Amino acid sequence: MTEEPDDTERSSRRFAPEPAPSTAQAEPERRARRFVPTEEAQLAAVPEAVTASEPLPGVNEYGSLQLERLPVKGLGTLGAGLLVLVMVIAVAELVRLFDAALSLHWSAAAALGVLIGGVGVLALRSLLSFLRARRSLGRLQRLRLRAEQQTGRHTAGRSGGMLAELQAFYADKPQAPILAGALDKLPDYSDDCETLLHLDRHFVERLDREAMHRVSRYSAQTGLAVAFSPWAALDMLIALWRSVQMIDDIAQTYGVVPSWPTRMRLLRKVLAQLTFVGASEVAIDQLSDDLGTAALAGTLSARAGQGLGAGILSARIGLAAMRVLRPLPFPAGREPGIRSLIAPLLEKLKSRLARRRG
Amino acid sequence: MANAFLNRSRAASERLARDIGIQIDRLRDRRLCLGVTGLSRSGKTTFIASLVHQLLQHKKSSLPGFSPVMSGRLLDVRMHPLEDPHLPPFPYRDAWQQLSGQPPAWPEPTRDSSGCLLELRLGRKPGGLNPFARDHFSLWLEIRDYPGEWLLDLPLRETGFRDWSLECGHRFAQSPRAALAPDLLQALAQIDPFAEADTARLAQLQRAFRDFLAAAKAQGLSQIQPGRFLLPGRDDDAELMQFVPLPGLADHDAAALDAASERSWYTLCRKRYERYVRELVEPFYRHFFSRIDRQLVLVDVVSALNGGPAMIDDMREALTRITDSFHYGRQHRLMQLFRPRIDRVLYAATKIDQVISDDHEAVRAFLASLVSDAYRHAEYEGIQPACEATSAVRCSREVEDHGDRALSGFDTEGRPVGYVHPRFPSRLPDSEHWQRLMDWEIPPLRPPAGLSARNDDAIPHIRLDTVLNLLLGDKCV
Ligand SMILES: Nc1nc2c(ncn2[C@@H]2O[C@H](COP(=O)(O)OP(=O)(O)OP(=O)(O)O)[C@@H](O)[C@H]2O)c(=O)[nH]1
Ligand SMILES: [Mg+2]
Repeated sequence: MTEEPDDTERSSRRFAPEPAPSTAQAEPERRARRFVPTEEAQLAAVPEAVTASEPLPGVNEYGSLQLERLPVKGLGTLGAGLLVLVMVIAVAELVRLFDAALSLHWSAAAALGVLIGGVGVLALRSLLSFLRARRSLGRLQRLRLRAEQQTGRHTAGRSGGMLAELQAFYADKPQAPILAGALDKLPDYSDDCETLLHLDRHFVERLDREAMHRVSRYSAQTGLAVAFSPWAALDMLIALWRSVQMIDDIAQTYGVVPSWPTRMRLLRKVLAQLTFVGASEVAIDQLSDDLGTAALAGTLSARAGQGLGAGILSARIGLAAMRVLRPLPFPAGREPGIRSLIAPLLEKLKSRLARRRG
Repeated sequence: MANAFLNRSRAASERLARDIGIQIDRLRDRRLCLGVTGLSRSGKTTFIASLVHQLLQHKKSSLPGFSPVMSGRLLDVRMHPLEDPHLPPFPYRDAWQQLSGQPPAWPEPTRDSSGCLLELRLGRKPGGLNPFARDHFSLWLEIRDYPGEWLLDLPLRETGFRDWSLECGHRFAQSPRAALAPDLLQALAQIDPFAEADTARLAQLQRAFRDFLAAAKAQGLSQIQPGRFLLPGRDDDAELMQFVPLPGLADHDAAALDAASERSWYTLCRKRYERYVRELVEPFYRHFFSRIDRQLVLVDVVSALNGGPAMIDDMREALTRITDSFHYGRQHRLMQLFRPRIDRVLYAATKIDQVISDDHEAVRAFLASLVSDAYRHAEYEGIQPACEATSAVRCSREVEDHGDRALSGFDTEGRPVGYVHPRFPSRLPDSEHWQRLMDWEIPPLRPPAGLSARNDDAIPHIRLDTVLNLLLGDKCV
């Protein structure tokens, strides 16, 4: 993957920007007033209930028509039961084995004992290191919780503890100098909310930029691979696997030490976040705006469409991972949108296509 | 002697057996604790009364959106007192009698805590595997009510006295509050925290501070701390409330303050503040909120919009700070016994019957943006909060007036009143629109006449069935 630098010269000019489309539909303003209702309007005694199935006049709403998920009960308990059963059988088997060895010769029994003990110690050790490996993510999430409790609060003097925690978290990590720089620039008086904003500007946003860069790279790779591969279905699988690597990469940007257990936990969290990211933002008709005439003219093949889909999914996963891993919550309205990732992806797809054809 | 001991141990073992029973029900997903959260006057009592009423009256009330009613599996609903002997039962009878009285009236403002336990008897779907299973089961629902003032104290649990004083100082310096009692605020700021405290002066200041809080509340502000100053509980110790914030602490650092003498203003106020938090706020949190599984947040968006931008900001901050006390997330039911987390949150704009139906959607969207800071935390845990525009008691009907849609109902004196209100915005409006909203005064409505308790009439509501389904629907299968 090489990134072509954009070195075309800009011509400087002035122009009058188009007026922004007004978001609020210009509804006619009501004339507020009071009046005494006519006899007929007061007549009937008790008003009727308004329920989910009969929307009010003027409100188009059947959104509440939904069925509850039927849970499959006892699956988790079954799993736990099976596990316990297997353990009991294993222990019973071991005891039998030990008895057999003892009846053979005491040295055989001793050897078996050493073996069992050794395995036990090993198991304990890996359990401990498993727990230790999860710590990095856990610390980040505690940090995040504290930061969340401070956003939007104009209180003073609470951010001290959080700053110390942040510094401790990033100590001996490559992010430390950036953080130190940001802290140096901290104005001498600021309330908690301002402190957070400052940190966001001067520290986390830099990490964001790097993370966005990585997301963009991965999603472009995925998109291109799926679009131009002879076995698109297989490549979809590979793309999903690549997503896990992408999450790892993003985690490192934000200072979470990669390890197997964190990866599992992260994956779960990211999947949970996926519903919140960009799903509504990418409507097909918006996309066709971006695609421009290429889509309309049918020049974009179905395969390229698949590639685009895979790329978008990968970008969404990346953004979800950023949401999960960011040490401070995104300030309201500053969350990066998915469209900024799709545009370069499209560019690449199109230029690749053109190159193939040309 | 021996007898007393026997009695005591019998009572203890009964309690233990009951607690175990409760935990087993929770583990089997048959018992839920619903946390009704709402600031003062947001409509909690009315909402709970109406909710209980709709369920008790489920044959006559219209709840088509609630899944067990839809599928005809809600067999019976009963109301029991909660097992906690110190908690009075929720005054449902009184509320219903008032709503259905001649003339109808709203329930009294709540002065003390109460609670009830609803038993929903549900039919089981046929075709289960277990041939010995009964064909119905009970779902138990805990609901508790309390004065909204107390809710504002929850953030104090995580705030020390110094931080709280600084926050107060910050808040008092800003516009609506600064003008309310400038003398008092001046006097508070000038107290030297190291000087020896004068209890008579403290009592006087505390009274003035309470009046100041009452005035702020009358203005429609939401952040009234400490809430129990305005509404002490039945058996609260008055001495616990003898303290005031010291905004002047900003000039002193924490270490110097800790070294202040026992009898100084700072130490005296800090000790009482800490006792207040430990002996009143903590138990309230533990009994009412530490175990909730589902949360319903009631927000009176209409009055806040009517109050103007300062009220909206204050309410937003109050709601955000309150959510810090709650834990959200999905987890295994076993963990739910030890460290409960909320897995569904519903924000409901109450009293929507005061709004023309064209604007319901706007109010709902406005609510969503108002609480977006508050639910960021839930979203991070993967919980998607829902927002609804609802009304516990629908007091108005839609009519036409000169070609406009309008509302008609009865005002508090029972005179018929009709009105058209300015359009409600779905986002923070511009200043001109604010002015229009603030100039308009919502006429308070009376509950609809003609509800008769004898005839088991059902209270008309707006979208309570959606609320019920969002909160309970999945537990009824
Ligand atoms: N129009 C209308 N007004 C309502 C409705 N529910 C509550 N109100 C109004 O809101 C007021 C307060 O309602 P309550 O239920 O007492 O509020 P609360 O949250 O219990 O208040 P506290 O107990 O003081 O915390 C009532 O007196 C009514 O005037 C409703 O559904 N429709
Ligand atoms: Mg009440």
